[in-house]
Amino acid sequence: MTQKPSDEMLNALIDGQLDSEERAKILAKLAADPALNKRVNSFRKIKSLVRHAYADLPVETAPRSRSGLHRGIYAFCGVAILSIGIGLGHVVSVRSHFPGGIASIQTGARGLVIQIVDKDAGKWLVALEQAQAAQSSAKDGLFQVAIVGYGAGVEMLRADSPVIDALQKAHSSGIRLVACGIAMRQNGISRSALASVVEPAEAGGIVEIVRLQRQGYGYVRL
Amino acid sequence: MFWFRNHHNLHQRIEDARHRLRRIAYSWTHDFALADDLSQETLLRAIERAPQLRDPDRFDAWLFQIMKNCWMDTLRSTKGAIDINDIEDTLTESRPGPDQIFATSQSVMSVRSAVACLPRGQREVLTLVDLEEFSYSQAAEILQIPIGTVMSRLCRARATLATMLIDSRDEISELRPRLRKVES
Repeated sequence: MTQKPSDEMLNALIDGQLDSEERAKILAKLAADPALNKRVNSFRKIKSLVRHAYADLPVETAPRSRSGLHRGIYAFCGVAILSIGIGLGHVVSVRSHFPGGIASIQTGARGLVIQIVDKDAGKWLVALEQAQAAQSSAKDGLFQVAIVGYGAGVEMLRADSPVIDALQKAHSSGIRLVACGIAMRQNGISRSALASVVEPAEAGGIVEIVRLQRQGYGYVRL
Repeated sequence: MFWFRNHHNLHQRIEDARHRLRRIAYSWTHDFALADDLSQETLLRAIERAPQLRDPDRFDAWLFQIMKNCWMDTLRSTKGAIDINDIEDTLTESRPGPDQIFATSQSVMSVRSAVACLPRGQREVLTLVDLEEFSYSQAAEILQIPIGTVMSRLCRARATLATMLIDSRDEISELRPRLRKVES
């Protein structure tokens, strides 16, 4: 399919109404087409303006519980607490209390990139689970979560990884799994040794993280 | 006893939805007094009809469908002032020009006035999806229209709002040619 996705499809993407296959197709087209990207961003901006415009009405009764709007506090491995509040107006705030981690990002974040450097199955499992929670609570089909493994972390992205089931599950819910190409070479891991759901980043994990940050992703280090 | 407890819970859920109903009612009417009446009427009808709700998972769609029906009744009773059938591409005469809206671009009031100027059918879909996060199929069920209509109305609503509200000439020039001509 080479034709451009219709505006209906772009809106369905924003509203989280596409299945993971359709979504992946459109995201791939968006990546290759700046004009399309611009269009989808303008629709997305409208959605956030509309949400914001009706966020605060004078009320006669107690305001609606924010549970539907402020979704979740996620504890990562007992070391990092990542709180993602998808507020009206598309404000995404990410706070990490991980030592040396980011203090705060407050933007109309386009997504979230999580970096893991350890070969620690427990940490990976929690990160994968929380990545899915973040993805599904975003309510914005454009919001994407990526996990980048480097250092010893790439070991957990191998086809024979102890967390392979969780990797596959995360992938099927639309989470991108990225292995640092430099760490792969250092650890002697060939491309074919990676799990099929993992994409290698030839230029390295850091370059990929910076690229995603430039696109407006929030960044959390684990 | 079990029956009683279920219905007691349902009444509580209906009461808890008051603010959500009022918000959607305001986004449809842009009139606080009317929105209060509409959400109050919906609460009363919902409590009356609570025994008819078979599937508790459908609660939200059921409740907002009741509000949609109340809204239609209100429109019918305000004799002919507003067309009952959707006139998709007819805009109201009070539509502010793009220049006026640009002046206060992106403020809450300008967004609300732009939404208020959308054809009613588009406005209903847009607010249910954006404010209540209803899925397209839920919105279709509430408004009793096909899902394809939900998508096309939403699409036109957002394209129109983009031309009115987004303060960037090049984005607008990209969007504008896709809009149908609507002015008489």
